[in-house]
Amino acid sequence: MTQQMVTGAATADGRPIYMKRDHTWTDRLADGHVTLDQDELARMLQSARGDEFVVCDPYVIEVLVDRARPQPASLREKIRASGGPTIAIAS
Amino acid sequence: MYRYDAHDQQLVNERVAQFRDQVRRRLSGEISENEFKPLRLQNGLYMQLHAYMLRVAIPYGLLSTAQLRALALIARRYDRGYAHWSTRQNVQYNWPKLEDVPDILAELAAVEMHAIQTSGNCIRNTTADHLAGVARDELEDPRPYCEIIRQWSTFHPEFAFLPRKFKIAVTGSSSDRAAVRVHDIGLRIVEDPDGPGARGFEILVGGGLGRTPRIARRVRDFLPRRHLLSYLEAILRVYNQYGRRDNKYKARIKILVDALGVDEFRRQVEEEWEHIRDSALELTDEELARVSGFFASPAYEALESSDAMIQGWALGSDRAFGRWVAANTRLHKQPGYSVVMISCKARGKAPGDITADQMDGVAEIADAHGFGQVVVTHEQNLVLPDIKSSELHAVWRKLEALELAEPNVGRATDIIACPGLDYCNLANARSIPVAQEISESIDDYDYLHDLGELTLNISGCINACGHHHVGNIGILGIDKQGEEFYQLMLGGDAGEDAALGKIVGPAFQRDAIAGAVRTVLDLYLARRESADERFVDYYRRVGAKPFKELLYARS
Repeated sequence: MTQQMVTGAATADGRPIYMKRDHTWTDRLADGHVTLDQDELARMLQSARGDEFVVCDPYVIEVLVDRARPQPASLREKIRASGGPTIAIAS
Repeated sequence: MYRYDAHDQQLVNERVAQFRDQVRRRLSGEISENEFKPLRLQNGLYMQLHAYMLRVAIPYGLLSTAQLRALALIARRYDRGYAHWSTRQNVQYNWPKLEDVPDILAELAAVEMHAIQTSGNCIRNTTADHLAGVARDELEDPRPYCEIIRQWSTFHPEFAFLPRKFKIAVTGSSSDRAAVRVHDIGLRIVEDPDGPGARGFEILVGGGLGRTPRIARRVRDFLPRRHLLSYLEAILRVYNQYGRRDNKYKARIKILVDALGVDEFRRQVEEEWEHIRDSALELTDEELARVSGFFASPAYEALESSDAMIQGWALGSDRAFGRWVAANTRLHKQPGYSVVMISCKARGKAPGDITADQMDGVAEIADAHGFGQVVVTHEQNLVLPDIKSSELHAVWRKLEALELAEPNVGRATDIIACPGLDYCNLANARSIPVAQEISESIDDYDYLHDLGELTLNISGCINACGHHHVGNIGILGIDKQGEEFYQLMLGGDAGEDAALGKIVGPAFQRDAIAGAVRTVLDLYLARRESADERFVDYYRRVGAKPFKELLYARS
């Protein structure tokens, strides 16, 4: 089964954030809590939904873990986790 | 251009104060995201992939240089030093912080701008021909009507919660540069067939792109202009009452027109209109004259025609300048003047992006060489509407220094592209890198100019913000089991012969789509009857078959 984690957009600026084991938030996907346990995931999501002054619209994403490093499964989440577009921004 | 009166300014200032308080309450935890979301959307504030995105209204695309400088200041002070022209003549900022948005709105209000009704199920920014007021083929300037529609539709209490968003476009020219046939309502200014000299509108309804693309149906051949607002109100009332609210994918007016049939839809509109046609909504000659006064032609100098001089430059020995003149200038209604099209599609850059320094530079040029106005096009470029032809070379040099002199307007590398999966929450695939790869692959200006007039539009999802259905070549990004694929469409046209492109065959993988486009272009060049046969004309003559044979013979 694919492992999963909880993410959302930070209320202050919309940047992607990821839930840690202690249900606080981090900007780094690698520091987010990864689990296979669906009950734990449900508790994380419930906690996230109660934390909406920090995070907007939390949801679950699938991740692939390679050498203890989680990587998003989808291209969309890879682009989010990279912190910006895949192209150079205008300068 | 239109200037706010005290009522306009008060309305916008009050909205800034209101949203400032709403943001304060959101950040302090007094209101939830569910409560805040409809409020921020009413102020054009979306949540995208990496950050909030603020969409700012530019009514019918027209900016003063003071406004353009304010947009540059916002990009520099509150964002990451750039902005993005949208495909509906608006501007978008990709990185605002929530706490800064009220200050951004205050900066906008100070130059008579706002973000009201740039999102949500309401009447959005009314768009117009980007050559309005200067086009040679123009019967009448559409901007006064756009402004009248803007005033009527802003905060219209009856139409604040329509079944879905609603878009109106107006043109006063025989050439349709406003894509009126792919809008919810398209208005064409026409002569009264029964009364020479009297003007009114041809009314087109139910056009649109997205997942159910439609070319608008003609609801009225001629509507006297005094009835403009009452007739629009009648259309909106029928839509508001009978448009579907149970399924957002079937909620646009085009679906209602489909369901009723255009004859029944027309009957219902006319029936509704009978109740209100002679109401306070009548557009009087006095009011039209008052608003038209804001759009009077500037104080042009009396000059000789420059047409021959421009043609000489276009074919002259200075090929760099000549290419730019040929592609990026348009004949002006006023002798001795030219329209300059500024390409925001430099090779390898994100289509429609512009830096703060470039915005300031364009403002300087518009003040020094024009009359202090700039127009945003729905093709994500800019227009300097009133440049003396004798000053074209100096303007070209200044634009070159700003990296805004790519000689490609209306050519294959003038690609319309939505932000795609690089920014957008709804996208399935990236658009910008595909546009960049195609533009970089056409690295020979002689080849580009030999291709002639050609539109190439890319969307990263079925919502079609990149208008892929009406590109002569259209590309739609799709997701196939987690991988980006791209459907190729041919034959679309947003102009007066509007047509929806047809999918040519199975979608291409990400690394094959630019090559497929090149195959299409090469085939057209090799087989067209003459250089006068445009790509879309060639396609209409031969159909998809030769393209299909070549594209899929290789795979």
